[in-house]
Amino acid sequence: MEGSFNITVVISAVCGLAMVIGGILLLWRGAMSLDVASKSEAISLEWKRELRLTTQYPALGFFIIGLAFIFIPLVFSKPTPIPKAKIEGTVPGVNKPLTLILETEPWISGKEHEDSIEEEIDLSTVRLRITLSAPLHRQVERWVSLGELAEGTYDLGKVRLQRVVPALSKDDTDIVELPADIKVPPTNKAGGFGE
Amino acid sequence: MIQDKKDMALLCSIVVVTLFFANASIGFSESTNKATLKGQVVHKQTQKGIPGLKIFLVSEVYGRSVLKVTDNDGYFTIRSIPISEKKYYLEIYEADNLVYREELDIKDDMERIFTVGK
Repeated sequence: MEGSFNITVVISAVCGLAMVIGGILLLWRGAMSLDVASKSEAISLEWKRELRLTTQYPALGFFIIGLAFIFIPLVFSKPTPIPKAKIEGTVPGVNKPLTLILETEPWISGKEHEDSIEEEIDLSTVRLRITLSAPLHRQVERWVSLGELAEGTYDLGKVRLQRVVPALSKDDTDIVELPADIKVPPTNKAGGFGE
Repeated sequence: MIQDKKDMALLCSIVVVTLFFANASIGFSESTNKATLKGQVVHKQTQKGIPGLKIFLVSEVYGRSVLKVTDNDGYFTIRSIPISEKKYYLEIYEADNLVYREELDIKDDMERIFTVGK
């Protein structure tokens, strides 16, 4: 479906370009002129007898229709932006930075396939696990469906994290020095590799 | 002339067979040159897992890995680590404080327990 749409968009744009370039060539060769044409030579476009456009400047009409062929596919082929969702909540009594982890629940199809696959997935039922994490605290999980998130804002409410490790003192002997020639990105520039 | 054609056919066969095996060996090495590190971070005194610690691998070649956070029992997993001749360093942070860094030689999938604290 998407493939045939893309082909249609490209064909339409190519037709538009051909009309514009062809119009320029016809003007150059003198087959068309920018002068006012007689009413019998006017270009007229009619759609379901409701919309009717008539121009006595055929050359301009040619260009406008050509440009429409170029720009309308551009508008239709613009990708639809993925909606953003907001997660809110309060976590009182934790004096450590909180981390939010989102993971999708595995979605397993009940269907069995032979050599071709055709599945319809209701994305609104796919669930996400939201994990609230803070150092030395027991993590708390919440489950939310994409359908609920699509409504805009998901309120976690008031979440309490239980501290399970009283303190963590650093032992300097646990930290080996990085060789001087190794330059690694800071922690906010993570994601260079791994999954 | 016939001899030339035979030689050409033989040469083409050798090229096709060589390309086939070269392609197969590239596919094999691509599928096996990544490793997984499974670990647990435990407290030195209690020997219990510590939740919520940030874990990174750092490498001179590949930079800093994705962020992982230890679960309620202190476990974490980092997948798709490129196997490299260069050493990796495992870093453990409590919030923004570095509490542990160790040199790791990752040549295959590995499982380790990391002990932190005093």
